[in-house]
Amino acid sequence: MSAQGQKRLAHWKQSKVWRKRIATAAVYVVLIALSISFLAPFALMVSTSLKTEDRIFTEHIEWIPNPIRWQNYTEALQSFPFLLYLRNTLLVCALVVVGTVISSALPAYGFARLRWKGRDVMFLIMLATIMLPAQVTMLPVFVMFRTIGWTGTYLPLVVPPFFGSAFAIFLLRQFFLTIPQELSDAARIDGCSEWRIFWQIIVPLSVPALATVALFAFIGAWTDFINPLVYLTDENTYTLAVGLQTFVGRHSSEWNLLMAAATVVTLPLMVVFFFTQRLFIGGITLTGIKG
Amino acid sequence: MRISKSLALVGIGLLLLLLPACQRRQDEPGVVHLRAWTMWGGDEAEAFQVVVDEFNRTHLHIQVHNLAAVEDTKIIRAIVANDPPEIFTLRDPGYLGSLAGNGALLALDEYFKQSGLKESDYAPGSLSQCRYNGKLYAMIYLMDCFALLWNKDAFKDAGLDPERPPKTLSELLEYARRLTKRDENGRIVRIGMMPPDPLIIISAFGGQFIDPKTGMPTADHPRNVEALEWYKKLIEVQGGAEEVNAFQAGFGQEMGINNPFLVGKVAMMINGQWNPYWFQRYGPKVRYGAAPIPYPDQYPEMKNPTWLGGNIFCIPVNCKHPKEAWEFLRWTQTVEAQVLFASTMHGVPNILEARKERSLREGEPWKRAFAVFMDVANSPNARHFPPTPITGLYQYEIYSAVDFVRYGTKTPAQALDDVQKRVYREMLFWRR
Amino acid sequence: MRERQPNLQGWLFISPWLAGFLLFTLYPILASLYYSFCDYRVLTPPRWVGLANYIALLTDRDYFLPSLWNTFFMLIELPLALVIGLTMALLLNHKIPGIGIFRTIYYLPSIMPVVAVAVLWLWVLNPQYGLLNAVLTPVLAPFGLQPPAWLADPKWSKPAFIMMDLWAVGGSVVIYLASLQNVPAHLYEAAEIDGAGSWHKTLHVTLPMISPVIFYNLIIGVIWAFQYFTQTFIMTQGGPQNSTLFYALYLFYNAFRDFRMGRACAMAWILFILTLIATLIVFRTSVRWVYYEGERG
Repeated sequence: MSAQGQKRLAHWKQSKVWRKRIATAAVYVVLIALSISFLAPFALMVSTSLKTEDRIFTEHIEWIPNPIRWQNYTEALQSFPFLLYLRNTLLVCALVVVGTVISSALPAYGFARLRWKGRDVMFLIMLATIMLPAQVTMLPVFVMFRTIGWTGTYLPLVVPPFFGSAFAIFLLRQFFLTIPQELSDAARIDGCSEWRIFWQIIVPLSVPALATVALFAFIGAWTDFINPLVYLTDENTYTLAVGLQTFVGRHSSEWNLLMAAATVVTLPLMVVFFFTQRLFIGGITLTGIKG
Repeated sequence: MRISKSLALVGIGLLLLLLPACQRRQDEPGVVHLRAWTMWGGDEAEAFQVVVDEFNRTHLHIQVHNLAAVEDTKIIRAIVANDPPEIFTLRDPGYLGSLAGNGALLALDEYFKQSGLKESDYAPGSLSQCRYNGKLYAMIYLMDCFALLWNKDAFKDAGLDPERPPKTLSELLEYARRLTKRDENGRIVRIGMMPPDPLIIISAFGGQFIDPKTGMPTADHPRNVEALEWYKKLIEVQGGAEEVNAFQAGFGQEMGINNPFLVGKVAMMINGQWNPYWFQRYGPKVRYGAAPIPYPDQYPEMKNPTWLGGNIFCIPVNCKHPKEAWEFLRWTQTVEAQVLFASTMHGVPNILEARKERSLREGEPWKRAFAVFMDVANSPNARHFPPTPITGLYQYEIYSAVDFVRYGTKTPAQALDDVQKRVYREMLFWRR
Repeated sequence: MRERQPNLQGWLFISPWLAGFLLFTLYPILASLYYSFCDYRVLTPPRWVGLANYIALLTDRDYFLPSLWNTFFMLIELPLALVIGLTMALLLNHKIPGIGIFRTIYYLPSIMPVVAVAVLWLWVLNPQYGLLNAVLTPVLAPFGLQPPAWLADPKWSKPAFIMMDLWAVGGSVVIYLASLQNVPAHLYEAAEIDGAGSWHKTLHVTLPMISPVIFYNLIIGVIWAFQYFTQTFIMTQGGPQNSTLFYALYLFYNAFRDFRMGRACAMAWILFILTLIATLIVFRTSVRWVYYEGERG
């Protein structure tokens, strides 16, 4: 290679390095700009939640509240029984999680690990129900629960999950499929029943997938709004979501209290998220790829 | 087995969570507990709690438990879910017809007859708010009525005589125009006249919602059209729908130190009799006046128009303790209960005897303005929305029509024609 | 080898779901079909009225048809969310220091409970004192323009909702990110050998490879639009001028406010048919890859 050629190559290499650096810098600029717009509402929420009543409506937004009024939180929590609603929500969530996990793992096993007549048809039907909007079935189910006197209790919220969730079944089936078939075959030769194979081989191997399903069920129950809205009549039984909505109706322009309540309702989910981040993203990855 | 163990732990945890939910109140024998869901929140809820406490103190065999600040829609959801409270109020009396017509309310005629209450004890426009299809489905506990409130400092600022409120509706338009103040961007800083409830304006024009003979809707009544034409002008003289809307959307209507009237952002408004008391409490320095609502120039016979509302108490049809629930309602009709509530809630008594009570007119400064409302409530031009099975829809339709008129997307006549078509069809659907 | 009634066992294992399907899916679908032909006012037994509910709905230019139109309008959000979500995913796919922090930041809004988001955005969108107009006013002032009143203005209320939802686009970003990372590296290498630039690679390798995910997200998005409820219920209750009266909200009002369970069921069935069409499209086009992935594992 000639000297000139080498020089050109070096130059080209250097410019490539520079191009890459500029591109990285550009990416950072865009990322930071986006971050600011994503975080600003959060900042506003926390800042407003600490303001006094007379500093809310100011011509320019004051990001640092002055004076800081921590009592907004105690006041919000007084007119909005946060701990009671938190307990109710956790109760509903716990039952929904247990119901969903148990009753989804079994059908998922049936769809993934057993061969039987009608399986594929049933699986297609089940997939189709994922697409079914809740509104289509909501009203007759409501009438049904009303007829048997379950309205006004938690039962309509926590019993249906014990009949499996199509989405969770689908997720678990996809995971069960990845477990080598040889494990089951060997167990069958040893005379294990399908129930034992499920319980002693598949379930222990599927803890991450089960945890993901549990997490999704938890988030779903935590954020569910319309079901608690139509089924719960006594305010003492409210979950956080409907409780917060009721609070909004009653304090529609006391923004400091509203923001304090919104912060308090958001916080637990943030905590759950930070502790389960890995599982969360992993679970979504699973969903994303398999459809 | 690790999994079974952790499952068992979860189960025990769940049981622990469930335990407090299962605890029941220890019931004293012979005491009936009634749930009352009422519309009032905040300070008003405290005022009603005083009434409830007084009832509970004097009626030891019945204990009423009040749940404050309940939206009508929540009550309707509870009725639909078959778990309504024993007593409830309707913030919007428009739901009365819908609830009664759908068989959700207990008819009170028999109870009323046996209670010794007489029609003649009642102020005009009070019991009629509780009737639907000739049957009594509710008891009214104090009434609301509306008058004009104006900020005297704003009048002075605009060069108007602070002691002379507008007398007619065209005068009101002129005042509104002069009182509206804008900033350099053209945004409204002070509105001359807060856009009032259009139903009030329609009734001030002598409009009609239902043909009293046929019971069918008359949304397109010529007087109604005139009323909306006036309404359109009111928006126009203050800068148009977008400006007025943006102004109105900027703040809430709650009573408190940020109330737009008290901070001088609203120069005039048509509002209820509860205001004077709260003004004194949250803005004692604000100088304001109260006067009857202006009347249309061309219809002097409509002088002193006002709009009546009321605190409507109902009992659901499948109530477990109808007798006890009625006992509470019956007690609210006594003069003591009326005066007690009127002096804390600042509503107009619906029992004529109680309206004469001097303590409601004399004493603290706010009572002078309150007396204006009490007198206006006696006006022959006091109206309320007739109970119909479609009142909710009907009123919603009128509000939407007014929105269209505000934006100029429909003329008043068009908008009301559309309302008429729809509510007429709905009424037919109902009667079939 | 194994004579253990595999058929029976299969049905046994899926029985929890099967019972749920019959009880909470199949029966309700049929029941709501029946109710949709009835005047059913909840407190009194249903009474057969034939097609009256459907006719009333399909000729209702004040509520039903606007609710359908409003819902269709919200579909604008899908391509927007797609472009923004994909762009963000491509940005986040760079392996640079601190990228994890950015991922978390973008993801945070989608973790927030919808009710809390609604409350927060009521404040952000406040025309006079809200954050959004505080930013927009100085930007627009030189042009002599004023920011809109958002939720108070029928022209801007739906765009306001779309903006609020785009704030929480992070949920789909993560899905796109996952699918991006699943594109086999050898495809990019092959493209590079052919001299493709990064724009080319995105267009001809990345997009085709993640197209199933995009497609699936779009279909789910359509169904999501028809279920749009919590936000409007809390923030606008359908106003102003019915401009945010979305399909699910109007259905809810019929059933739980206006005692018109029959008409609400008719709405549910119209929704069902619309969804069925969408679902059929999904299966026609995607049943192959869904199956392929499944059986391979």
